[in-house]
Amino acid sequence: MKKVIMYINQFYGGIGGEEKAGAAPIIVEGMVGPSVELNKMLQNGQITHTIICGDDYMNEHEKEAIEAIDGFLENLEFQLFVAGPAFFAGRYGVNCGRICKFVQEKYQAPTVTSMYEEAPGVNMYCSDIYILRGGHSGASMRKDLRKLGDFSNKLLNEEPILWADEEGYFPRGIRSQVILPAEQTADKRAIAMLLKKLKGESFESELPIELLEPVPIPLAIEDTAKARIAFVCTGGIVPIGNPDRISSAGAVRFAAYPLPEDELKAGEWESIHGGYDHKYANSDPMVFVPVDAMRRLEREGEIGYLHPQFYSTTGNLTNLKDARRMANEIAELLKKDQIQAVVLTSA
Amino acid sequence: MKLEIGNFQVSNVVFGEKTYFEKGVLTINENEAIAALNPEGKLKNVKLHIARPGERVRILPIKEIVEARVRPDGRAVFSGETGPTKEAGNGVLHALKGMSVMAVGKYGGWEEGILDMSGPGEELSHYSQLINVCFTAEDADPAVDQGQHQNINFRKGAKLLGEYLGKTVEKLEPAEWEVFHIDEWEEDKGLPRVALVLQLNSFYETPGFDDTFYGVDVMYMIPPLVHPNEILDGALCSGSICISGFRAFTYDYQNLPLIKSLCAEHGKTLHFVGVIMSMIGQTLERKERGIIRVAETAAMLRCDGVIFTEPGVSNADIDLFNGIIRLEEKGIKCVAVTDEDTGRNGRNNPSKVMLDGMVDAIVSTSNTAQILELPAMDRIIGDLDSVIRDPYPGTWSDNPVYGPSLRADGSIIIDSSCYLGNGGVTGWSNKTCKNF
Repeated sequence: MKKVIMYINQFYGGIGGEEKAGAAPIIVEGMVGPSVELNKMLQNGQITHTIICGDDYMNEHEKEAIEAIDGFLENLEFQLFVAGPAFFAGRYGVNCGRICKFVQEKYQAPTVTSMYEEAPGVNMYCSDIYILRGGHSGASMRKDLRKLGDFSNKLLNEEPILWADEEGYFPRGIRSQVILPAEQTADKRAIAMLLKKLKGESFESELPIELLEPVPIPLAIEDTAKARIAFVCTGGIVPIGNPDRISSAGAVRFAAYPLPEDELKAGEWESIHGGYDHKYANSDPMVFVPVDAMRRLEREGEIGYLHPQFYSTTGNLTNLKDARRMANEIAELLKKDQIQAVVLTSA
Repeated sequence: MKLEIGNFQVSNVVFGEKTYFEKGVLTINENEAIAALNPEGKLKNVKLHIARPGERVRILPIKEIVEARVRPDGRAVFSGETGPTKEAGNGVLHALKGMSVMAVGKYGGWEEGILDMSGPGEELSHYSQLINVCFTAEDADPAVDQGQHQNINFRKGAKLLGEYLGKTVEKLEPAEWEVFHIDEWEEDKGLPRVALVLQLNSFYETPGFDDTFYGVDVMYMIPPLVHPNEILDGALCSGSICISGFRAFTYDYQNLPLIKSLCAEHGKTLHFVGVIMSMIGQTLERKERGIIRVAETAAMLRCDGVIFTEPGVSNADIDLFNGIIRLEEKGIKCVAVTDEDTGRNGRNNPSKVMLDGMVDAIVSTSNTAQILELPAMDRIIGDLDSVIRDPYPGTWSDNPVYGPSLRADGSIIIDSSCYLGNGGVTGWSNKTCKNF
């Protein structure tokens, strides 16, 4: 019988809700919550331990949390590590991805988790680990556990893992050759595809071309002296303490902050972007929001008007879908103030 | 044109006192066969070998492959190559099926392939399913044998051996006939008009490397419209370039699956108007000239659809994608058939150097850099040492992840770019690429 260890958060581990999200990791022998159900589905495996960790604790004290879990695992023997399912949960999903990646790299053991397709953890970790396509909320717990169970059995039995669509995991950015049944030769596939295309029927390209929409370059503003201008920043500049809890990566929301009259002072603002060294941004937040220079231009009559707040989020690992949605939401707010141009600073 | 191919299924090949075909068995007099393939003595140390499906045999480096055939009316099997230039595509041919003739050397290069007759490599290549009659040899003049060379004497030798073996069935009655009959004046009966755009092995400006058409190097040819039968009948021969994992050999042209399948659909689901041969331009201007001619030829043929093949990567991707964009702009719907370079770790993304939203229908035949770990074989036809010594594209002398390509026990670890027939872009491939 092979040994399996499971990771779940404080809620599914029965410790408590959001008020217990700061709980440090613990390990318990045997099964808790979803691991009871998963264990029933395993053919050749047994869940020996369940690790429970608060979502905020892992998110805010990643190093300590991982060190503690590493300590739990060091003296344990296991052949598989399962986390979640995490559904559409932001922190929980990211934490499942983070711990699976760590365990896989350090212990060379297979890992698997499950999330909803728009959960930020998917984009952050799908190229490193197996993340199964899961449901939106806890209502799909049973279904997602069934998929985790089937996939876990394959991993435990060391069966070949087929391609992403066939198995139901998010593509890991790997393309590989597969052998089809002997009669499905390329000549026949090509003729069938062409006949469908000629008839206007739907067909599926074997190499899907995922293209980025070209962004048209806007026309220049004719009279900048009257121009109404705003700042938007994807460099992660927020008030100290990050009151709006914008993620350092894979952001799904933005915040609006009042634009100061003269400058953004060091010590009042910080960067929470997870993709670069904060040294320069923290010592001078105006590398992202150069309000001093724009106020001068405003005074000199070079520009007409500055929008009274700036919009901030982080751009790293943000999926395109969320980026488009946030941009549309910001644009709507800007249109209400008849803004004609934006100074968009990225990291 | 009407081409009638009388087929003789070969169930075994053996050596014997004389060369003849009887009850499915081809018997070969080795000395006579060697004299036939090497009439001018330009090759030395010539030997014959037989590799049968399922045998523990590795063949390398493979330089050329043909199907053994004869024309009962006396014309050369390879018009302009092994005899005077005569019309190809019309008349009667006899062919030995289920076998090939392979030219194998001592020194490997980009264009030369490796093939296993059994083991995990077996299911990757249509050539593992054939009885392969191989000759091994070296060039008598060492100056033309090593590195990147035209392999003229090997290519000629394979064709001559193919004709010599084909003569065994010259006067016999074939067991079955394949008939390819497309009348140039035939009405389309309202069926969609479809052309095949066939990209050739053609990117070497030094003469003698590229494919030949009626014996002439195709390099500077403006894309011509040809009858499918001309290709099935040996007018188009393989050159000595293009990486072996995906290049087309002469055997592939003689048996081109896309042509055969389009002929089979002709008059039923589509009207096959012909083959436009496309060269890989070596300058932007020549690429543009090729694209202009391909698109305008298809438009003048009133094509509704085109199947466009590309046996290759990178440079040739540009001709494929820009060619299809131009055809689609003219309202001609296209399907591409090509391989992908997804990299040895599968993370080379995108796997083509160019992508475009107008190229929305692609049949992917293979990965050009799939890692293959192949066990040692009992018998080697050719030279196993060529794996590390010579510039094969998919081998290496050492690698931090995979170690050296050739191991002491005779097993090899290579990538599919040098594995014969892995690409299968002319239609053979039952492989594709998927996201993992």
